[in-house]
Amino acid sequence: MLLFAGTTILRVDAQKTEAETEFKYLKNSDNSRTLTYSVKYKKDDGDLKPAEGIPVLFKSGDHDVLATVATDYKGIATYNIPADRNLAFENDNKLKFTATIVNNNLVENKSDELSMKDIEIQMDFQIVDSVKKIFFKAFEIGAKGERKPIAKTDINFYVPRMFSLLKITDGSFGEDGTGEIEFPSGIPGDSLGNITVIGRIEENADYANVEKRQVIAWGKATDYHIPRFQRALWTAVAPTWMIITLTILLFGVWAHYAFVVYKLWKIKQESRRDM
Amino acid sequence: MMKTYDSKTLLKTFSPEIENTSLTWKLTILAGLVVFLIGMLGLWRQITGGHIVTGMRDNVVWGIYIVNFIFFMGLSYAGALISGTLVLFKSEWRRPVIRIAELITVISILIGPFYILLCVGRLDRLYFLALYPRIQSPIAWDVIAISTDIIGCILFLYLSLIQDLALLRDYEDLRVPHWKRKLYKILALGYTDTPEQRKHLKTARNVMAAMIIAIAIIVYSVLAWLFGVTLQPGWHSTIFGPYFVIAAVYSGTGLMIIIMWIYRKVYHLEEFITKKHFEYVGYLLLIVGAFYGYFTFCDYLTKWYGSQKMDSLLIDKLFSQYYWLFIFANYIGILVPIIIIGISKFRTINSIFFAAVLTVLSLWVNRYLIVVPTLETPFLPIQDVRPAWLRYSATWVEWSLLAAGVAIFVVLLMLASKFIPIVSVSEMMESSEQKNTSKNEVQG
Repeated sequence: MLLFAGTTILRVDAQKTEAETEFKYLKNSDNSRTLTYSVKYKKDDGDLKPAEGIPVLFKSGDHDVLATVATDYKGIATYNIPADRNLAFENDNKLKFTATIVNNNLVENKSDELSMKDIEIQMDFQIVDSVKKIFFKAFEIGAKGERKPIAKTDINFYVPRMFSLLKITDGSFGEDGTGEIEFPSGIPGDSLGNITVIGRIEENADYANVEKRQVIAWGKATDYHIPRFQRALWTAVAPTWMIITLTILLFGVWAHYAFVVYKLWKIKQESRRDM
Repeated sequence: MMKTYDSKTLLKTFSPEIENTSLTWKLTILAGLVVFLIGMLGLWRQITGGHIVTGMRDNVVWGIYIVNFIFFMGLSYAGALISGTLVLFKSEWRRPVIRIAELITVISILIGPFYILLCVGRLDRLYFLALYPRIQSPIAWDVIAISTDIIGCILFLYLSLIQDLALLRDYEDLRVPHWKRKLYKILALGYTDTPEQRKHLKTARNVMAAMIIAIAIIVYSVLAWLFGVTLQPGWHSTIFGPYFVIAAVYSGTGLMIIIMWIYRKVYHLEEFITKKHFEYVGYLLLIVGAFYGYFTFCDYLTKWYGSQKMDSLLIDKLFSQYYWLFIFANYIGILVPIIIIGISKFRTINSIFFAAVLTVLSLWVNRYLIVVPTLETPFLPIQDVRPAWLRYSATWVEWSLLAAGVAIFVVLLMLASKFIPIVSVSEMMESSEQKNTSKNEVQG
């Protein structure tokens, strides 16, 4: 996930280690928002190590407390703001978030803040003269819900693959806040050709990170049925040659054991005969 | 020249612990049991705390438990191969040392499989292996092979013990408890050394000697295929079967020399286990060591020259992170024994013993280098895994169980000396008889 990094305000605490932090914001496709705060500290050998279990206080504006979240083993505290949560706008019509490291024994207290305009991206998929196109537009949303088209902003398009997002193309919004791109052909989708397309404004100074996801059957239908190779050994019954080989081997060995036991029996019999 | 002894003298000499229990024996047993109990404490910690108390994690799912398993099984197969070969080829010098090889075979194979159980997360489902075996799985091959081998090894040892057990049964002056005498009587199967009995025993022993060589090679190859048939970098190699077999013989020969040295010192067997025996077993160590070195070189050269991404990463790791372990296992552990035994000036009993200790230690490290660095270099890394889980570091629980395995090996070896002669009396008597016969023939 590509997120937006914010500025740092440092308060020095002489007793603890200095923390290296990164504050990120992403507005998701369903209008929820993800705040991520990464905390690391320097070990004695100079390596940066994730600080686990550090409480991080997230706030909207200066007073609206969202939550306190402890960092995980990667040193990351994550909080998802539901789409229906009311958020207060600042005077400059921006949202403001702060993340603050609170009481702990490991790192110094520290606070970071991010501010950005709230926007919404829309995507429309159309086939024009047999060419698949994505028409996109975006609006700034004001404190009272008023909408204003954004302009001269770049947007990237991705499709999710197994391990990461694959960038398929990029575009930009014109003066009227709209734009279009041609959708590349031949991208593998699922068995029905469904593919998730992600439009993303990234690392933008005004809007931070915002994305829109939409599923469309424009991918190449793929058959993920895994063929059963002849060499595969996950069949219910083992191959005949294997059963025969194992049987011969085991029979051979155990027949010799039986012969030896027979010889032991003969030794015992001989002793009885002597008596 | 070796003197001629009667059976009673030989029995007394080679059974130092059967009648009397020495202080050395008691102290060794006590020390062994203390170490074993510490291991049991570790086991209790693992059972109550789960596998998280070990160093094994998502990437490195096998640690020193599997290393110990391969190591002990290797010692067993080596003992089987050596004793089987010595019996089949009727080497005259085998007589004082063959019992050691046989004991190594049986004791090691009784200990080794326990380490597999320590790796199993759900021991309560272990019987599934018997109920729902999949013949396609190398694990099933291993279970079948090892259980077959255990029976074979015990049979082979028993065959070589029958004559000694009969001697112990018939030795009326032997001061042993009644139950022990009764046990000798039962186990001796009424053997009185009649020509027919001798013939039956000889046939059975030859058959088992041949079988045990074949089984050892097959079973250790199967164990090698547990690794070889997987697509792990460093393991997927056609050479692994013979490589494992030769490595096993190398370590087993080393252990045999170590036990020969200890028995000789502790039980004053200088007259019977002579420099000649150390040299002969040492030559075996030298030849096997040379082959083992050659196989090691072939394996790593092929991987290095192929330059496949993961193989290259693995080789880089072995020459950086594991540098000293790699140098010890694959240079010092091979070249030093070869030099010591190869150059006559260096070839003394103590130096051969030193070479043997190096051999055994280096082979353990070699197993570690086969298992751990490979698992730390997977083809598909697990995403978002904790960095601490990428590297394996054994915990005290695992080390304590390794020590417990070694301790119980020593304890079982010592316990064996309370019941049976540590050198085969019947073999030595046979040698004496042959000498007398040939002497009479010359005089006649």
